[in-house]
Amino acid sequence: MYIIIAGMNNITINLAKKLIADGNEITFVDSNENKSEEIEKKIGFVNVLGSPYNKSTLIESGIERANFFIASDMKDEINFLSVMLAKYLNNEIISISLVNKISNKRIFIGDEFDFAIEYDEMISDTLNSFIANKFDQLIYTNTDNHTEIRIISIGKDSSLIGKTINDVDLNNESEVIAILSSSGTISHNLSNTLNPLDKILIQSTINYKNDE
Amino acid sequence: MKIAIIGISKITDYVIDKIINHSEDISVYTEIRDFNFENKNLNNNIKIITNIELEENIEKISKSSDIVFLLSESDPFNSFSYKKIITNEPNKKVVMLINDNEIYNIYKEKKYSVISPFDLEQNDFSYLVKE
Repeated sequence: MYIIIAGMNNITINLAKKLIADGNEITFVDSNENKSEEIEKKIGFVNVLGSPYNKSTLIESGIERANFFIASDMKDEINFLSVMLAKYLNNEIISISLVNKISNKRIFIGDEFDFAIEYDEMISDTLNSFIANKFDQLIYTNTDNHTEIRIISIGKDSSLIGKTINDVDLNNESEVIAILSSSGTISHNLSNTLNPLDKILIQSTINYKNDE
Repeated sequence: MKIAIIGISKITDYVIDKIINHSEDISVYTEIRDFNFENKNLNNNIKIITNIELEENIEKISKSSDIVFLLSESDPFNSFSYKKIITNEPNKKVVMLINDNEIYNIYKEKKYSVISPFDLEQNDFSYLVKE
């Protein structure tokens, strides 16, 4: 997975180390040159220097191919605007916003904000688990019959490990097509137990939102 | 009609010129005093409230006003405050300044009431204050 982290601090630096160790690709976006140099010394060249709410900076960081965008600035207003822009540039990206002030959590609601987490929850283990468990990627949309196909990856810490597809809480309009195992085999046997790094291929009916 | 202007920026004077004849109750809220702005507006019938923590008071200011203009130099502050106000008061008339052209175009596309220093003539907000 490719993950962009806007905002360097001890939590996100530790998170980045874990994510890199798990084989993920990371880029930090931060406008502080000193912090950028510090991170280069610690984990190598993984920075884009600039504002996280600047289009050119986010494009340079590779926002269009990223799977996750973590907005972790100490100012809520910056996290708010950077997520809004990130989601505009890549509608499929999953956003995680740090909310520094609890009373602001209700502002982080809307299509742009997939997950808004409070500062206390912003520890690298929580975030790592969050990313590992929530990976859900849209791979195909059929506008003729209003269906979409998604891949859900089973992270190393996923609560789905050891369960079968029958145990997974899918809505009535979703159907499992196949399970792609981490070894590369494709199984249609839905009674097999799920293992880390398996992927579930799901077809769902699209529920179009009413804009009114 | 009670109008609140939050923040002093390069277009605050422009906005005041456009609305001054439509309201007798205009208040400008700013965290830092701007003596040039104060001197320029000595003869205008507007109140200038300084040394106020805007982030803490934005909702209170909005509730006591009919229209809010978010005109600080900070795009994150203006856009976050806009969402804060609309979350509490969905029908409130709010206009925000966005300096970054890309972000301005995104908000414009989403049909927000947004103005840009580079596109002022295209942003007719006078209808808001004429009612």
